[in-house]
Amino acid sequence: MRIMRPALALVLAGVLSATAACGDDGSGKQGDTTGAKLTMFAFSSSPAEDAVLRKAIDDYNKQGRNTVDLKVLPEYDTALTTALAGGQPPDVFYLNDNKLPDLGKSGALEPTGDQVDNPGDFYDTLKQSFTYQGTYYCAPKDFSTLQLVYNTADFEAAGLKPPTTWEELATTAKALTKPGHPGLVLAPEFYRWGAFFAQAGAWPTDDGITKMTMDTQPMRQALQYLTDNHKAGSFGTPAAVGAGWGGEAFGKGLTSMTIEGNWIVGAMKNDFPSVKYGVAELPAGPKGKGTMSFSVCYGVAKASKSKAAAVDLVKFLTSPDEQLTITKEFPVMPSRKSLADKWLTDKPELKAFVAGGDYAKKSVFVPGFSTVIDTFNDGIQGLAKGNKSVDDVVSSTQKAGGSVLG
Amino acid sequence: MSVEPAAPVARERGRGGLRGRQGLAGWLFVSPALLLLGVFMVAPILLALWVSFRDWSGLAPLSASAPAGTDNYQDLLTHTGVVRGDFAKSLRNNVYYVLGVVPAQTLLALVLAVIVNAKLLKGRTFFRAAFYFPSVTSSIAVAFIFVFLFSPNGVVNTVLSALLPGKIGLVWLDDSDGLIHLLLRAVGVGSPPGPLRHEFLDLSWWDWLSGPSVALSSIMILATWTTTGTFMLMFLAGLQNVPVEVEEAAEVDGASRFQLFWRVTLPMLKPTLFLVVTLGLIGTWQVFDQVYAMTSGGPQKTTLTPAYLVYREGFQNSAMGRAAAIAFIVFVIILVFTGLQRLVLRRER
Repeated sequence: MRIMRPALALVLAGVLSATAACGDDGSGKQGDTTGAKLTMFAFSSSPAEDAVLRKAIDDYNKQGRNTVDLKVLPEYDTALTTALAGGQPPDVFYLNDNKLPDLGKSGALEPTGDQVDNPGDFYDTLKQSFTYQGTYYCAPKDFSTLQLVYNTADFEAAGLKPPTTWEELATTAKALTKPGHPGLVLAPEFYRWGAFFAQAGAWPTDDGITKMTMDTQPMRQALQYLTDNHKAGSFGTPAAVGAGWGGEAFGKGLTSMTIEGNWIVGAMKNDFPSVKYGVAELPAGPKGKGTMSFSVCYGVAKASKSKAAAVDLVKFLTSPDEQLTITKEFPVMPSRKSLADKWLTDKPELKAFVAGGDYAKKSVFVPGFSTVIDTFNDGIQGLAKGNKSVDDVVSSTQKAGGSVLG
Repeated sequence: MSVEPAAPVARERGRGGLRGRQGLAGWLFVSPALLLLGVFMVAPILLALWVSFRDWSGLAPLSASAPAGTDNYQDLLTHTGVVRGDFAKSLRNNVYYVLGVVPAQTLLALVLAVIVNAKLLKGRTFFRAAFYFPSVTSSIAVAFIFVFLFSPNGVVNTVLSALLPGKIGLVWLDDSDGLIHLLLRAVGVGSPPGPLRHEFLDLSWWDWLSGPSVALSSIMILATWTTTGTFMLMFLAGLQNVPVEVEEAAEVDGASRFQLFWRVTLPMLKPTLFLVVTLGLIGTWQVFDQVYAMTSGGPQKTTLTPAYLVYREGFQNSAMGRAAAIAFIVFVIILVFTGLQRLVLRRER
């Protein structure tokens, strides 16, 4: 019989924290900058990324200041939560931007964002992503933006150029649509559709994330645009063409365009090396260009006993040289503005992703907001499938957000 | 009939002396088991109960969390909002899941057990092993194989296309339409009639009555396929405990094969039936792995189950207190269902 694993893990986390409560509270002391044994948690999406990170840590260990024990973990959120709940978290850990508000609120993070070299060099959007209630918690490791990825052969055959406006996108997608082959495939979720909201000048909340702003004309316009194109069959979802995500649909030739971030480059290289493609900036909407940024930072645990050494490690990893090495093979972008040109020298074809850094919106809200995103995604899936109306989605998301933002 | 002498009983109750020390020894003998149960069952359950009354994100030690009173339970049961709506959806989905899977797996298991118990069947051992096989495979691995089977260009659609007229292009695991809704749409009821627009627990009656979605139905098929083998084995054990003499006596008395099964064999299988249905109920109320591997609660939350919600709230949405509260409500639901079922089976006796 199946055991209820989540409940068990929960119980375990509780036991751990109860026992850890008797231990050291780790307050005050920052520890020495050298001679510490550090633990670092990270996640990885491919063997290539794994190798790059392990090499960076080896390089750091060779410098002899501190020794880092790197743990690359599957089921990352669960592992990190359990470690934090147990009161003995890793000294340094990867932290997804959308988790930042929850961690900031729980007080588990030491604010170290400004302690790296030349902190002003980082993109402002990214710094905003890792700021909660005025505190800039951690330095961004790198970032990705969403842009339009298109199949060059399909475009040439149809005599098309990458679209630059919503109207052009609709006609281009329509021209490329065949039975079982929508012109554009994009995942029905906020973290893709959000780019269109940004282009329409709409967003689920106001800038200060104090109230919901779903019920606006621009939001309805963006939702309607996407819904209409799905209904017409020129936009489709990955699942409907039998793919797990946009990149897979694109690589398998089930569509001619998709909207994904930098990660698609690695996937294309590994899984579909023969497919030729280009990356263009997303078409501009009624309010101009817009996209979303996704980032990961190096968090330092408040409960760490060697915070000074941990900051030393983060300084090393965010230094310009290391950033360039880490992002060279695995093409996420350096989080330092000054590195953009150098990063582009050997991959000019990815220029559109870098351009997004200037106008991307952060995809981060407040603690507890993920239930609202879940509800929004529920609605977006309904719009893409055609069994929900824009009115339903606007009102249900507005209501869901209202109960979180108060 | 003689009256039992009362004296020895009284002596047994007395403290001290040889008997008393025996009691102490008894406790000593069971203490390892008690200790294990205490540490790995009682303490964690009590701790989880405590967590369900705290505002704990799971991102800091539990000792640093604030008391939440009954807020976690109120959010799930009495406060209108997205949390209660999601919980209601998970309950709806799981009720349909239980209604579909428990009868199907019980019936199938019984039929299979009767077949492989037949003395005339050739290669009985082979069939017993074959039917039991799905139960010993890893549920996650099987779930991934089913993802391929149910993909738009997968085996299921190919077979259906060959059998039925036209090309079947169902997107099984991404279809959020409820079966009852689909049936109603087929007879011309596409939108909810007025009274069904009213909401109960932030979910309209129309949505409560949606039936399992196509995606959930796919998971139900998978679950039935994997668990039937185990229950077949239990029924088989039960069948082999039915004395041959009783069945032969019934045959001599002129019972038909149907009467023999319905009036003699089945009543004697009642304890097994109780076991199978109880385990089935508990298992189906805890469905997690398949949802985790195949759909992550989507499409449109139609495969969200309470067990998956516990994981989502606890580890993804950083609301451990709420997650613990959900786990306890599900615990109560399972207790109630098992109690009801006991009552029903007992009354029939």
